[in-house]
Amino acid sequence: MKNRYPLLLYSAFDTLELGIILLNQRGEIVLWNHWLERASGLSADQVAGMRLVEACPELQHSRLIQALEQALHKNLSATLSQSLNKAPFNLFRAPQQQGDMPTRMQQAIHITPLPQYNDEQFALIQIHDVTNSVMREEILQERAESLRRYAYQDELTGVPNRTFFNETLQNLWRLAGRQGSEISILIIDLDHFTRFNEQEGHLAGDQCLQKIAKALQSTLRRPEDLIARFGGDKLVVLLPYTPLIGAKNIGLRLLDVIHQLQIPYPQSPTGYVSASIGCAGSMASHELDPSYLVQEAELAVFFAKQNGRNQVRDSQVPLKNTADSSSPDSAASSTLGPPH
Amino acid sequence: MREFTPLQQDAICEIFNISVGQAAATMSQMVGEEVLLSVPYLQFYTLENACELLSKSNLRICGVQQDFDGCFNGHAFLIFPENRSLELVRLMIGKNMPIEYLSELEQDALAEVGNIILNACLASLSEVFQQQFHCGLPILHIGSSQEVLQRCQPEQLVMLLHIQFTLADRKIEGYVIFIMNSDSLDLLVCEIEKFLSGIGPQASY
Amino acid sequence: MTYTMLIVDDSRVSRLMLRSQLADLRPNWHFLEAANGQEAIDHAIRETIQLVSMDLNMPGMDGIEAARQLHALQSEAKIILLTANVQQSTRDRAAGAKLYFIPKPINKQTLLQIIAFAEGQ
Repeated sequence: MKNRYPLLLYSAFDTLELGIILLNQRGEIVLWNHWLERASGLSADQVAGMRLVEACPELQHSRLIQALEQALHKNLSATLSQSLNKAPFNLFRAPQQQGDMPTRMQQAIHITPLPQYNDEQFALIQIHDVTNSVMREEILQERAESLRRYAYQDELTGVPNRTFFNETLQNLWRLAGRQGSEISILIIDLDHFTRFNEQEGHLAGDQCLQKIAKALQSTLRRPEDLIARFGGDKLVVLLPYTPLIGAKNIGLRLLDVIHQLQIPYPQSPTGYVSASIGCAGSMASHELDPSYLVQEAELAVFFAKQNGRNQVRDSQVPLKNTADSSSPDSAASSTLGPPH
Repeated sequence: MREFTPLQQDAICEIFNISVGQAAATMSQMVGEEVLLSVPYLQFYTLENACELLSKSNLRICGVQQDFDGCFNGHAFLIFPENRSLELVRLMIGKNMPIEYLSELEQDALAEVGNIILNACLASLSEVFQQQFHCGLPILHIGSSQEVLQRCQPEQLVMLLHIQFTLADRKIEGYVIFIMNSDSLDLLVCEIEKFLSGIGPQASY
Repeated sequence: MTYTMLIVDDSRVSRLMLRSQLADLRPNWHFLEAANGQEAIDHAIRETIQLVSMDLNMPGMDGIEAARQLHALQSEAKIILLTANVQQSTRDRAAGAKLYFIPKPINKQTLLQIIAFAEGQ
C-alpha cells in the first residue's frame, strides 16, 4: 500500500498551499515543493541535493538552522513563530495588482523529525504564509489603540479624562501603599467660571479651559505627574511620591502660570482669569480608600473660595479670620496667596 | 511522595541548569538583549497537588505542552500565570500595547518560547543519558490548571522545576514540569544513577 | 611541586564530574573544592593555587566577584569562568574581568580546553 502511489504523493505535495521542504540526515534538500518554487524563485531541480544554507544563504546563523540540527540529530520538533523570527526565508508574495512590487512574505514555520526511513533520519519543514494575519492584527491593534485613547481622553482639552484619573489614582495608590510613599492631588477650580461663560460666551470659555489645561500640562515636568479634566471648570493634578507641602508649592506655581497667561476677565479683582486650588496629600495605605484624597481636596477648594479665591489651600479647618476674605495675603497659616 | 537523594536532585538541577543556559542564549540572540534564567529548585507532586499549587495564586494559567517518548516518556510543560505569559511575549516582541487577550500571532510566539526551553531540557537529558527522545510540536493551552493538564492521568507524578527569567529588568517566574507515570520516573532515576556512577566513586553514596 | 586546582561550583555533581574526569587525565594534580565564593576565598588564604574553575551563578557572591577577590590574594592563579550561562553578554563580562571563558556542559572538549589553558605558556 505504502509504495503504490509515490507519484501521487509528489503531486499532492505540489498542490499544497504551503511550503514543504524535506531534508536528509546531512541536511541536503530532497524535496522542494511547487509552492516554494513560486515563492522563492528557485526551482526544485536547482536546489536538489544542496545543503539548505547553500540554497538559502539568508538562513546562516538563524535559529532555524539550530532547530534543524536538533530535529536531525536529537529528534526534537520546533515551532518558529512569525513575531520572534522575522521572515527567515527570502520568500515573496505575488503582487496583488499589476504593477505592484512583490512583498516579503511573513512566515510561520514548523520543523519535525521524520521517523527513520532505511536507517536515515529526515526532517520536514512546513512554511505557512501568515502575511494576511499580520496585516489584520496590525489593523486591529491600531483600532484598539485609538479606541483606548478615545475612552481615556477629554475631548475638549486633550488631557486625560476623569475615568483615566480615577483608574490611575487607584493603581498608584496601591503601588504607593506597597512602597510606603506619599501621594498628593490638586483640584484646580477656575474662579467665577460660570459667569465668565455667560458673559464672554461658551466659545471663549472653551478656549480658556483649553489654554489653561495645556499650560498646566507643560508645567508638570516629572513624567509620573498627571493632569486630567475633573469635569466642568475643574482640572485635577495627581502627584505621586509627593508630600502635601511639595504639592502646595506646585499649586503655587500653577497659580502663577494661570496668572501669567493673562486671559482678560474684567469682572475679576485681578482683571484676569484666576483659580482656586485645593490640595490634599497622604501616605498611601491599604486601609484608606484614595477617594479620601479627592474629598479632602474638594473641601480645600471650598475653603479657598470662601477665603477670597485665587489661592492655594489645604483642608485644615480655617482659622477665625476667614471672615476677612478681602485680604488673602494676610491669610491663615494653611492658606497661601497668589505668588506675585 | 517520592524523594530523590540530595545528589540525584543536584544532578537533575545541574542538567536543567545547562538547558536553561542554552535556552536563554537562544532567546537572548532573538531579542538582542541579556536574558537571565535560573532553576532555583525541584519538587515532586501528585497531579492533584500540582494542580492545586499552580492555581493557588492564579486561576488561569498558560501552558506549552510537548509530549516526549524515549527511554522514559511523558508530557513536558512550560507553565506561566496567564498575565505573566503575556508580559513575557510582549517583552520579547517589544510591543507594549495593552490589549486584553493574546492575539493569534502572540500565541505562536509563546508556543515558540516553550518550545525553545523544553527542547533545551530534552536535549540535555538526551546528551547526559546518551538516549534519544522523540518529541512532538508544542501545543498551547490556556485555562485553569485542571484544564491545561487534563490530558494527563491522575496517577501520574509531577516533577516540577521552578524557573526564573529576567528580561528587560523584569522578573518573571514560571515552571517547567515533567509529568510521568511511576515506571518512567523509576527509569529516570535509573538513568541518573548510571550517570552518577559514571562520574566517580564519590558519587555513589 | 604539586599543581593545585580549586573547583568552585554550588553543584556538588558538577564539582565531582570535573574533578574525577580531570583526575583521570592529570593524576598528579591536587584538587580543592568550594561550594561558594566565600569558601573559595578561605582556601586561597591558606594555600597556593595554580588554577581555578569558577562557576558564575552561586548563592551569595557571584563568580566574577569571587574571582576578583581571589586575584587580589593570588595574582598568579589562572582563573576560568566555567558556566552554563553561554550568552554573549556573559562572555563579554568574563573578558572584562580577565577571566578565561569555557561554556558548560562538561565534556571531553571542555576538559581538553581546561588542560590546554592550564599548561599553556
